[in-house]
Amino acid sequence: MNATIDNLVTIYIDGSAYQVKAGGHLLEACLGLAQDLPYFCWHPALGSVGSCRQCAVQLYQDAEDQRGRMVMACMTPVAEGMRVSLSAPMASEFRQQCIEVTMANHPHDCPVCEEGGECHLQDMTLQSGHTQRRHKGHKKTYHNQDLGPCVGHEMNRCISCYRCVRFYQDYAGGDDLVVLGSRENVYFGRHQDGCLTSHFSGNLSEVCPTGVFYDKVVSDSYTRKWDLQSAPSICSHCSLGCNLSVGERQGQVKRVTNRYHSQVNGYFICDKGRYGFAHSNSDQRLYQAQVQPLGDTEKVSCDTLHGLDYVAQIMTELGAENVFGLGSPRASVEENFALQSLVGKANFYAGHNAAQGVIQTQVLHQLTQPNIYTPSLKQIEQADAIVIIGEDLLHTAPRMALSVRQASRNLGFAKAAAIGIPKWQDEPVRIHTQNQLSPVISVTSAATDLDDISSQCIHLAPSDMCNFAGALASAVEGQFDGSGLSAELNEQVQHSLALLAGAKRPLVISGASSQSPELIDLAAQLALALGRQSGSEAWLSYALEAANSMGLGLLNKDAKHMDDLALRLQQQTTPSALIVLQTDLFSLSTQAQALCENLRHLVVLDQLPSATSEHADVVIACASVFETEGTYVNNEGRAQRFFSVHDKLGRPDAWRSLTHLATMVTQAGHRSDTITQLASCTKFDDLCDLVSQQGGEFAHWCDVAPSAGFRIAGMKVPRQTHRASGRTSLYADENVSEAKQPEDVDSALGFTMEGTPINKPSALIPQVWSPGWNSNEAINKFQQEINGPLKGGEAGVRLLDTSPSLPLAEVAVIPSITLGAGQILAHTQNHLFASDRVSSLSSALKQRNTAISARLHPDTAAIMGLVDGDEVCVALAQTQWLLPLTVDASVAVDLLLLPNQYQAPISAGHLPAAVSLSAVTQEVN
Amino acid sequence: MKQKTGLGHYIYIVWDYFYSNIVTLVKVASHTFTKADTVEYPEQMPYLAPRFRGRIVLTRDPTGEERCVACNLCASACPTDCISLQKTEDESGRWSAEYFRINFSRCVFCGMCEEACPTYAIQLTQDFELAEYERQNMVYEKQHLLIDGPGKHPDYSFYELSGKAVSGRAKGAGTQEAEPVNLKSLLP
Ligand code: SF4
Ligand code: SF4
Ligand code: SF4
Ligand code: SF4
Ligand code: FES
Repeated sequence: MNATIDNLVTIYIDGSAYQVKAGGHLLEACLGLAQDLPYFCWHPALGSVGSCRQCAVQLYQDAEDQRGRMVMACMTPVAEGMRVSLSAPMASEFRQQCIEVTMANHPHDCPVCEEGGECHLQDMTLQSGHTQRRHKGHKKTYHNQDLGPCVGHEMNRCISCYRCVRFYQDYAGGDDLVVLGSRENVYFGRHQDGCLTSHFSGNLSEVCPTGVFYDKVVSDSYTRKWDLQSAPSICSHCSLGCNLSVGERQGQVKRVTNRYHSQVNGYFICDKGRYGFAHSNSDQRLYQAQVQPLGDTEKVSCDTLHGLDYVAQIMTELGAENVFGLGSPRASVEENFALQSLVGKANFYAGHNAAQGVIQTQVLHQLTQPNIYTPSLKQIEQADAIVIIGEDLLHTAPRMALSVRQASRNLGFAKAAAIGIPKWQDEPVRIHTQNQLSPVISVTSAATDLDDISSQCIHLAPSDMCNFAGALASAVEGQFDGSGLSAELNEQVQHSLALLAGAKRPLVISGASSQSPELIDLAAQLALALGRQSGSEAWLSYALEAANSMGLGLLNKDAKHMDDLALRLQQQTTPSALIVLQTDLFSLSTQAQALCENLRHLVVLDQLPSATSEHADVVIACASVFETEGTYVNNEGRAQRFFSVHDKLGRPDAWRSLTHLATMVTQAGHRSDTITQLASCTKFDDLCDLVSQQGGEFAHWCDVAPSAGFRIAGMKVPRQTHRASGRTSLYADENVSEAKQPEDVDSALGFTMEGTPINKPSALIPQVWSPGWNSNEAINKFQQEINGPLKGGEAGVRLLDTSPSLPLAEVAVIPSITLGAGQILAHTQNHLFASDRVSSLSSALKQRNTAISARLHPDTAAIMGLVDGDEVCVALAQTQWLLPLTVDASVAVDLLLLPNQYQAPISAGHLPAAVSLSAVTQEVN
Repeated sequence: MKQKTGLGHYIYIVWDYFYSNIVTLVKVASHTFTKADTVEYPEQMPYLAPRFRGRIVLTRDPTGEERCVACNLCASACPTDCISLQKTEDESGRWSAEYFRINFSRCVFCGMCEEACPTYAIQLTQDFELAEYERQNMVYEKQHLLIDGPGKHPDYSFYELSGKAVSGRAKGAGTQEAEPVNLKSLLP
C-alpha cells in the first residue's frame, strides 16, 4: 500500500484551508467536506473515468495565480497546498453548459419517470443552475428493450455516463449488458431483448443516475420516494445481513433499496434482497389465529388472543416439561429467545436437521478460535488469495461473490500502485494490469459464476472435496506426501499450493450448503495453515444457511436440532406439545411426519401457511420481517437490528405473542424463572434487556441499536419524509375523519413525518436524503468520508470478536451415506431465486427461476444410459420426482445435482442422500 | 412613562368609549340607506372573478384521453395533503391514475395543485357550491372529478411532448422528436 495514503494534505477550496486524505482525488475530497459539486460518471465504488465533464473546477498554480485552469475534479489527485475554486465563473459556467448540452436530447418525461423525485440528473441540473432549454432542434429517441421482469428500460433518458456497463460488466462480471452503436448514437442494452442474467442487475436502477434502468417491480405499483414510509431493515434471504431500506405505502411494501453499510453491503445488494419482498404483501398470508380443538376435523378462525389462550391451556394441561419449542434460523434472536424462555432451555431445539446442527456448532467453534478471524464483506475485498470450498457463492451468499470478485483485482491494484496509479483511476488500472487477477481457487461440485475470475476451478464430489481440502492444508504446512490421493487430485493440490505461495492476506471461504461438517472443519485447518504460512491471522468466512443461523447457534450452543427432538419425542411417554416458530418441518428432515405423529398438539407461529401449519392444531399468524423489529446475527457474527416499516395489516409480532403466552401461563400458576421474566416484558426494549442479561456474546445487546427512548431534539426519528403527501386523503374513502397516527412503543422510529431528517444514528436511517440531494447519491452527506463509515459510526455489533473460544457441542455423528445397488449420490444445486418459500412468492423472481433440471456428468450419464434432455425419475425412500436431465461436463463425476426448489418433492434438507435414478420411458402417442 | 391619573384623563376614557360606540351605531344605521352587498343567492348568482378558484376537476387531452399521468406532484404540492392517488399503467406504457381522491373537506382551494401539475390535468373551476349535509360526501373520487373536456389549455397534450411511446404514438412520433436512432447505421 502507498505509504502516503494515511497522511493528510492541506488544500484550499475557494480560499478556505481544509485537511484531506492524501491519495484521493479532488471530487472525493470536496464531497467529503460536504461541498456540493455535480458529477455523473464517477461512482464511489467504481472509481473515476472523467468522461462526463460535470465535475469541472478551477485549479490555480499558487496564491498569486488569478486565472487558473479548468480540471476535472474526479481525475485530479489532491496535493499539498493545492488551490481550487468550485465557484469560479469559468468552471461553474462550464458545468452549466455541460448540463445544457446533456439535456438538449433529454426527454420531457419526468412526470412519468420512475426516477422522478429521486433523480441524480434532476439534482445535478438544479445544482449547476441550468433552467431553460434553449436548443430548438429535435430530440434523439431510442427504442427500448424488454429486459425481463425486474429491470425496466427507457433509453431516451440516457446521458451516456457509462456507469451501467461499468457496474454490470466491470464490477459485477455480467456479460449481457453492453454498449452498442457508435459516436453520439451509443446504446446501453442487450444484443437482443431478454432477461438480464446478472444476479445484481437490480442495482442498475440505483447506479444509473437517470431513469433509463428503473425498478420494474416498483413501477408496477409505483410510489414516489417522498411518499414512502421507510424503515431500516436487514435482508432476511441469506446469512450476510445486507442492510436494506424498505418503503411502504397504504399497507403494502412497495420497494427495497440498498442501505449503505461500509463493512457489509456497501452500495450494492443482490436481486433476491431487492425483489424478494412480495411475501409480505401476499394474499396467502395467515390472518389472526386458527384452532382445531381435539377431536375436530377442521380448524376454526379466532382472534389472536383466543388462539394464544388456547395454547396457554394446552401448556397448563400438559405441564411445562412436556412442551417443546422449535426455533428458526429465519426468525430473529428475540423471537427465538422468547420461545426458548417460554419452553425452557432444555426443551428448546433449533429448526434445522442433524447436519446443519453439527455445522452450526463447528462454525461457532472455528470462528471463535484465537487465531481465526472472520472478515466482513468489505474486508474480503482486501484478500489477495481466496480458496472457496464447497459453496456456490452466487446462489448461497451472492453479495459475498461480489466481494470475492473485487478481491480478485488486488493483484492489479498492487501492480498499478507500484507505478503510482491510484486505485480510483479506473481505466489506467485496467489497462496497466490487463487481465491479471489475484489467485482465486474454486472447489465446487459444478461450474459456478465465479469460474471466470478463478485461477483454478476444480469440480469435485463432496468426499473428494474433503480429501482435497485436507491435502492442501497439510501441503501448505509442508507435511503432504501425496499418499491417498489420485494423481489428478495430487496435481491440483500442487497447482493450488503454487498459486497460494506468495499470499499475504489469504482467505478461505466455505459454508453450510455442502451439508458437510467435515468440510467446515477442514476449511478451518486450511485457513490456519495459510495464516501460518503468510504470518498473519487466519481469515475464514462461512456462508451459513439462513439470515439468523448464527444468532440461533449462539442461543442454542448445545446444537440441539430437529432430529434430536424427533428422537426425544419417540422416547417420551407422556403426551407432549410442540411450538414451532416460522419453520416448515417437512422441508427440513425426513423425520417430520414421524415427529408430528408423536405429538398431541402442534402449535405453529408463522406468517405463511406451510405443510407444517396444515398439520398443526393451532396456528398463530405473525408479522413479517417488515412489520416487526428484531435482530439478525450475520455470518461474521454481526448483530444488526431491523425495524417495522408499517403495522397496517394488524399481524402481531411473534415475540409479543410469546410474551402474552408467558403472561397467560404465569397467571395460570405456572412460574419458572424464565417464563416470569418473559411475562414481565411489555416492550421490545424489555426483551432486549433480557437477552443482554444472558451475558457472554449477548452482553452488548443493547448497543446494537438505540433504544425506543432515543430522541433527537425531543422527537423520534421519522419514518416518513417531510414532504409525504396525502395524509388527509389516503384513507378518506373509508372515513373522512383522519385516524390518529399509530404509536410505536418498541423503537425510536415514529410513524410520522415530524422530526429531523439529519444527524440520525446509523442504525436508524430509514432512507437517505439531504437538501438538494434527493437520490441515493445523498449518501455522501452521511459518510465520514467517501466509502468510509457513516457519521453515526457503524451500525451493529460484532459478537464473536471478544468471545472466548466456544467448545464443540457433543452431537451425534451423522451416519455416512452408503450407496445401494443402482443408487447414486445426490446433492443440492442451489438456485438463488427458488430455494425458499419466501422468495417463491415473488412473481418477478419466479420468472427468473429457469434452471429446473437434474444435472449429471456425461460419463456418469453414459454409464446410466441417459442422455441430455431425458425425463428422469429420482426416487428417495417413498418420494419420487420427475424432472428433465441436463448433461453438464462441469459436474463432478458420480454425482447427481438436484435443484433446490421450495416445495419440490425432495427438499434440500433431505440431501445429500443416496437416490435411485431412472429414465422415464416416453409414451409414444 | 408617566402614569396619567388626573380627572381629565378619566373623562377622556369615558368619552372615548362612548364616542366609538356612537360612531359604530351611526355607521351601521347609515347602511340602511346604501345598496346591499349581499345578493339573493341562489336566485341571483354572485359575480365571480375570472380567476376565482373553486371545485377541482381532472381534464382530458384533445384526443379525449385522461390527462393525469399520476405523477403525484399535485399531491406533494398540496398544503393540506388532501390529494391521494395511485399510478397504474396500461399495456402501451401510458401512466394514469388507478384511483384519484380529493378530500374537499380539507381543500383550501389554494390552487397549488394546479400550479404543480405538469400536464394541465388538474384544474380549479368556478364552482363553489360544495355544501353537503354529510362530511363524508366531500370526498371525491376520480369518477367525480373527471370531466369530458380539456378545460384550460385546450391544445396541450403531455404525451405529444414526453418522448415516451404510448398507444397511438410510436417512439419519435411526438413533437420535436427525431426518428429513433438506428444503431446498425454507420453513416456519419
Ligand atoms: S431521468 Fe430524471 S431528469 Fe430524466 S426524465 Fe427521469 S426524472 Fe426526469
Ligand atoms: S443508461 Fe444510465 S448509467 Fe448507463 S450510460 Fe445511460 S445514463 Fe449512464
Ligand atoms: S387547491 Fe390547494 S388545498 Fe385544495 S387540493 Fe389543491 S393544493 Fe390542495
Ligand atoms: S400533478 Fe397533474 S398529472 Fe400529476 S398526478 Fe396531479 S393531476 Fe395528475
Ligand atoms: S464525474 Fe468527473 S468527469 Fe464525470
